[in-house]
Amino acid sequence: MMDPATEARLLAALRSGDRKAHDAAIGELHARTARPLFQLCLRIACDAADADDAVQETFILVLRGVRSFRGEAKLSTWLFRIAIRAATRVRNRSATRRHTVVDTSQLPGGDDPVAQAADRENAARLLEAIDELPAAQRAVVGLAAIEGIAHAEIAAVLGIPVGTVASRLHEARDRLRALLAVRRSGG
Amino acid sequence: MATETDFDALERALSRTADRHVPPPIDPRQLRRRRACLEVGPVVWLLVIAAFVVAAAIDRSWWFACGIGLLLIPGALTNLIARRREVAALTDPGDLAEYEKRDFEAQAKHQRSAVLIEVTAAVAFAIVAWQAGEAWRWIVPAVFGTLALGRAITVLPFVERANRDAGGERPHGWSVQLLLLVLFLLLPFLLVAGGVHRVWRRIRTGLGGRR
Repeated sequence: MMDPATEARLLAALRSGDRKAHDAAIGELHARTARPLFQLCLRIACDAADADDAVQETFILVLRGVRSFRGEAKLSTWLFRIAIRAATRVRNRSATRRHTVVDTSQLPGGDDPVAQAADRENAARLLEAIDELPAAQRAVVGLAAIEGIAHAEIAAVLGIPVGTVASRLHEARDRLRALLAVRRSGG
Repeated sequence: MATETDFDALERALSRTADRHVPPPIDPRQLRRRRACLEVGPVVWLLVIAAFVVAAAIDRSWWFACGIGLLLIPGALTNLIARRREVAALTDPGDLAEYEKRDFEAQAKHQRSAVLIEVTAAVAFAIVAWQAGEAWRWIVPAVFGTLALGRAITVLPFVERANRDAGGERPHGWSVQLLLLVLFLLLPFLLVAGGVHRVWRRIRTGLGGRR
């Protein structure tokens, strides 16, 4: 997602007193990380609108805390930790979950609308099942969905051993398959 | 149990759909506005006191200027420093968000009732000025009216937006606020004022009777 040199450059700009450099760094950080953060927050909050709120909250919290960030972890690791907390907070305060990812059919270009509609339906089915997982498993499922993330980084984000990540992910997937099968059989 | 292939297909569908989603942009100015909003209260209060002191000094009411200065400025300064320290000490972003939420929630509630109190004061003093028939008395309701209008137009929408952004609880509606104001402020005030007025009249009548 971000190489160490980019992380160091963005951190320096975010901590600088130069407002222009600061705002440009926020824009770049958002452009690079908003999508993976949305993937993560969506699987924790289980609703697109809530996930959007959680991503916004994550950025606000990151920007406020960036001066006190000690740099002991990677910037992305810190970002994911904050996103998990933000998504959990948004999930807890949200009264209802609709299990939907926003309707993108109105956007120009893209795939066949029928395929998009089928994707949305399947996405909603999976979100409904993820919603029933325990919080720890939802976080692992969310992090594992981020493209290019290694088990070692998931372990660093969650503060657990790498072996636990693998077993937790395995348990979560088993449980999801079982939940989906129950739903399919109408039970 | 659903097969591994089925499950992977669903997972890919979810990832694809989420990837098509356009994330809302982030606005750094909003962040700066909210931070300013969090720290501006004690500064405004200090400025109000300073304005009182300056006004009294211009009028050469030195005892009044000194009184206000000695009584109110130390408290306002302590409040300002304490707020700065309190916000700076919240190094954990989660704690800061919670603090902001609480503060904006309280401010949103306070601002609505402040507008209603100022409107009530403006109306009450307008009645007094109208009954007295002296032109200069209209200055007081005009000041309260301007304060209420200024607060309703500038401060209130700003604080309520910040409260919404911070995920704070919405303040009571205007009708509920009005009811609370009448029940817990206006009625007790009128009852006490009526009582004091009656006692004062009895005292005056008693004194007059003895003369």
